[in-house]
This record gives sequence, C-alpha cells and structure tokens, in this order.
Amino acid sequence: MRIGTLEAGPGEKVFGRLKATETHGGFAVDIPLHIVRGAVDGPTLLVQAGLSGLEIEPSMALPGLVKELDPVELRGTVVVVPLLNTSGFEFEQINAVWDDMHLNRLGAGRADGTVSECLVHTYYHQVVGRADALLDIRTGAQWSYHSYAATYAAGNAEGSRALAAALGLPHVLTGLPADTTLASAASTGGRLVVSAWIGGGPGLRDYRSEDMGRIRLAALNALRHLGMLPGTPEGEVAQLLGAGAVVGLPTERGLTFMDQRKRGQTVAAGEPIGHVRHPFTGATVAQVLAPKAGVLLHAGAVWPVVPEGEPLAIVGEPIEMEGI
Amino acid sequence: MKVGNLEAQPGEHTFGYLEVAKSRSGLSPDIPVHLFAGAEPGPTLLVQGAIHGGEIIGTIAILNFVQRLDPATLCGNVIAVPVVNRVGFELGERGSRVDGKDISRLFPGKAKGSVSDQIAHTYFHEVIRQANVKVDFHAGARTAYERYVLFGAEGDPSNPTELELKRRKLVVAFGLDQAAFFPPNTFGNNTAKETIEEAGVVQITLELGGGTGWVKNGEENVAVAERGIWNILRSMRMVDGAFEADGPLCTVYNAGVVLWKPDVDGLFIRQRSFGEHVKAGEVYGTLVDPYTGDELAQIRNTRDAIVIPSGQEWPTIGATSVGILGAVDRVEDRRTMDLYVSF
Repeated sequence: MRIGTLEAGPGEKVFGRLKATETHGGFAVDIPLHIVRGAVDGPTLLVQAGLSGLEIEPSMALPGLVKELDPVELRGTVVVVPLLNTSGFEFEQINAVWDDMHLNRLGAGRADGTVSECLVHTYYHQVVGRADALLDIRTGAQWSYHSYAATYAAGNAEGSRALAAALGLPHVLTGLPADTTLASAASTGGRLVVSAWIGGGPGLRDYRSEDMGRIRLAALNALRHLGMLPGTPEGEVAQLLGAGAVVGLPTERGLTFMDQRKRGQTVAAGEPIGHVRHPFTGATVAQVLAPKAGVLLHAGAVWPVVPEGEPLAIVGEPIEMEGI
Repeated sequence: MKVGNLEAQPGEHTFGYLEVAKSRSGLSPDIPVHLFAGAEPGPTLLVQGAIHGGEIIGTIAILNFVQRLDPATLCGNVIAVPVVNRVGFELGERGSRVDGKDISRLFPGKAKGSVSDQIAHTYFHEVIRQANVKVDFHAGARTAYERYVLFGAEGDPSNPTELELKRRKLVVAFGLDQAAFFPPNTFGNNTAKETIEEAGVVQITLELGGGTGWVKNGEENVAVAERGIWNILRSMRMVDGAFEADGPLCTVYNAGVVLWKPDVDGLFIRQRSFGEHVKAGEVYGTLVDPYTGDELAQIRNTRDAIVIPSGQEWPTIGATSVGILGAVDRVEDRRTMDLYVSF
C-alpha cells in the first residue's frame, strides 16, 4: 500500500504525512496518517477524524488503536487519520485557518481551488479513493454530545447500514440525503461509509474513558465486520432509525436547555424536548418541540449556548430491516 | 434604590439595562441588571455572572434566583447581574472582542477609555460601590471544570482586618466544601480586586462548574450556585432560613502550586484527580502527540500538594495554567462557626 511517499509492505505499520498543498506563505499543508498493512491481502478500511479542528477527542483514541493493532493478525489494510484539519486544531477553531473553510463542507474538494479545497481533493483522491470502507468518526466539539452512527441513502446503503449496526452504538440513523460532507461524497459507488458520532466536550470530564472506549470499539468492530480481524462485533445492539428530523434552534435565541433525560426515549410529535430562556430575565421564551414522533437520538447540542447552525436533536423513526 | 438609569422602590423588583457605553458601530453592550429593593432596610448584595463571557453557570443560577426572590421578604437590596460582559457572552469568549480587554481587570475603569474601560467605570461606580458584598461567579467556560470558593490572600492572617473576617465567614457560608486563596502575585498583581476592596466591598469569587462537566454535573452545579446565593443572603441577615451546604466542613487551601504548560505542545491529558495528593516530582499530566499518541512531555508537580478542583480538561490549552494545587491552610467547621456578618 502506497499513499504519496508513504509505503507499507505486508505486515508493516508506517506513519507519516501526505503532502497535499502549500500556502502562499510557504507552509506545507499535509495530512498525518498511519498505514497498517496486514500480512494477508484484504479490504482497505479508512478511519478518519478531525475534519473540524474542534473535533479532537478521536485523536486521543485512534493513535492507541494503531499501536494496538498487530499487522500479522490483520487481513487487508487500515489507514488511520486521527486529525485531518491540522490548522484548525492548531488555532482551536472549526475551519481550516488558511482560508476559513470547513473541510467537511467541500465534498470531494477541487484540484484548482483554495488551500482547503486542494487539501480535500488530494485527500479524497489519494486516501478515500483507495478505501473499500470509510469509518468517519465525528464528535461534538465543545458544545454537543453524541452516541450514534449514520449512513447515507446513496451508494451501497445496505452494506453501509450493516457496517453501522456492527459498531456497537445504540442507534443507527439510516438514509441520510446527500449533503456537502466528505462522507456523503464518499458514499457514492460501492464503498461502505458510516459516520460514527461519539462523545463531545460537555461529557469530557465524566465520560472520557467511555467515549474513548466507544471510538476504539467502533473501529475494532468495523474491522471484525469486514473480516479484517477475527471475532464478531461487540457492544450495544443498534436500533435502526429511518432518516431523522433534525431539530435546530427556535427563532427565539437565548440559553437553550435540552432535556437530556429524553435522549434514547420515544417522543410524540410536538412533545417538548427542550426550552429556551431569556439570558437576562430567565423567562422561558420558547419551547423546543419534537418535529415528529420517533426516537430521540443520543445526539446534538447540550451546552446552553449553542452556535448558530448546530443541531439540537435528531428524531428518527424506528425501522426493521432484514439481515441487519 | 438607584443604579445609574435604573431605579426600584422599597418592595419592588425592576429589570433593565444599565447604560454603559457605545462601540464605534453603535453596539450598546449595556448591562442587564435586576434590582430588588427590600421592603425593610439592610445591606446590599451584588451577585454577578459572566464577566468572563463564556462562564455561564452562575448566570443560570442567577436567572433561577431572581425568579424566586421576593423583595417583600427582603431586608436590604440585591443587585443581580446575570451577564456583565455581553460581548463576550455573545461569542462565548472570556474577554470582549470589541477592544480585546478583560473587564474584570479594569476596575475602576476609565470614563474616557475604550468600550471595556467605560463599562468598567460605570459598573464600578454605579454598581459595585453600592454593594457591601459582591459574589462573582466564574466557571470553567467550555473547556474546564471547577468547584471551589476563591478569595484573596490576607495581609496578616494572624491579625485579619474587619473586611477579611467578614470574608472568612462568607466563604464558608456559601456552602461549598472547598475554598482556596492564592499567595500574593501568583497571577500578577490584580489591582482591580484591590480597588474593589479599597472601596470597602467584601468580595468572594466562585469557580464553579464548566462545560466539560455539563452532561453529568450541570444541573447540580447550577443548583449549588443558587443555594450559595441564598446562603449569602442568610449570612447577611437579609432573608430568613437555615444554611444548606455540601457538609459541615469547608477545607481552605493555600493554592501555592500553579503548574504551567511546558514549551512543547500537544494534547494535554490530566492524570490526577481533584482532591488527590501529589508528591513533588510526580507526574500531574502529560502532553501527547495528536497523531502518533507518543508522549511529548510530562508535567511534574513541584511541591507536595493536593489537587484543587480547578483547571483545564479540554485537551488543547493555550498559555495558561493546567493545574492548581495547594496545602490545607485550615478546615472550617460550619457547626461551630458563626456564619453571620453585619454591616
């Protein structure tokens, strides 16, 4: 397996940086990645994280997973990118600092675009394009907290759903419509693509070890599901949910309090699932209502000051599928 | 009572915005203020939140408190300010991006200074100086978690001033099981706090809660913060009722050990827990490479001490302290201590 100047022979692990482009000031824009190549040929799984510079918890778990993997026991190749957006991480912001673009809103990127578009283009074609399956690990940055997996309607939807159900997370949200994310772009064709949303800053103090464990388990379960490691997936049995309704901020802004006790529970259409208080008088100025009946995922913002555009919750309808 | 452009008659609660300044674009970061003028005379308590804009646990507690306080049963006045730094609150930031300043460091402010200087000037002269006691809520914003009462070091602990004696009681009355003071000049000379004390205002600071503990502890932190406000009112004999606390004891630490980030940067992972005794030379935390997981540096403790409930939890840190440790200065017992103060 060769990616850029990095090459791993059978039974080898390598770490290095894939050069993507350069800024006008001469800073190299590159992508740190690991290649773990099994002794025996097999599929290629890409585990990626950190497209937002504030989604950094996977970088505390994935390097440990790489150390744990024994290439001799592995069939196929694992490519691990613990933190793609290195400049956003450096400057503690969501977007890449070079052009203030969100790396996960550029699809497959552009070869003749801005620094971020070039970065994503190189990554998509030299890394994503080599993978049979993509495990896209997301997290809640500093204001949200999550525990679910999601798959797109496009591409190998059935295979992606099965992979998602194997990760050990409580819910799998299926049938997402196409969007501008890299995962969405990658989901075209026969590739298996799952976004696994795990953890986030508001739980970092008390649930750090659990969340790190879920990230590790999700990756190991993906390897087991793909037959790259022996054994069967472990963890929670996932409840499958149809394409969800995303709940955003109500028109009235203020301090937003979501009812965390309802996460994972069935809610009725119109049921209050949170409320907004005036930040200075304390009066309740809006209710956050479930847009439809279904299961409230372990998803969304929990810190009371919610950035614009950040989902508060996702409601999905339970579905049954054969073979999952 | 009158605070700038706001006024409340005895037995009234009024809410409004204290006019403080205007930015060049016309932004008015006027400060939201609740005035409770008690039906009976008495001292004045100021409770304030979010002078660092992202530190909102106290803000929520103050919002709960103002909905429950009845001025008809109050002796004295309460000035409740849920958010002092509105620009910082808007952006979830410590300071004010309007001029890059930290309002908490500017008192007494300047009438003809930058926007934050003007805010500090009006706030100091119209609000702070009216108070006998100021309770200032801080927290860990989105990236840390804390749980103690902070107060200033005493000039001569064997011969405390009248203000210091009152402060000792208020620190314990608030109800947390831990409190701390920093030796002078630990974080530089804070002339703003000195200015407030010179005005005769007794001040305590809460370092309580924060974003990284929000999922599990958020509701409890808010409840404890509000409980503390009521306790301070009881201590000042402004309302009736029994004190409520974490327990009978309050351990007071001399926070003499501040650990800083080393030159090398990476992901900070704290390895010691609140309340844990750490010997000199032992590892407090590590910095690891975010891509390989390799250890880049160890942060070692400099003196035998106990971890005070404070500090960074989010793995990326700026030029800031990553740990505060201290020795037990004293243990106060609420069962035997007189918790009442008079003004």
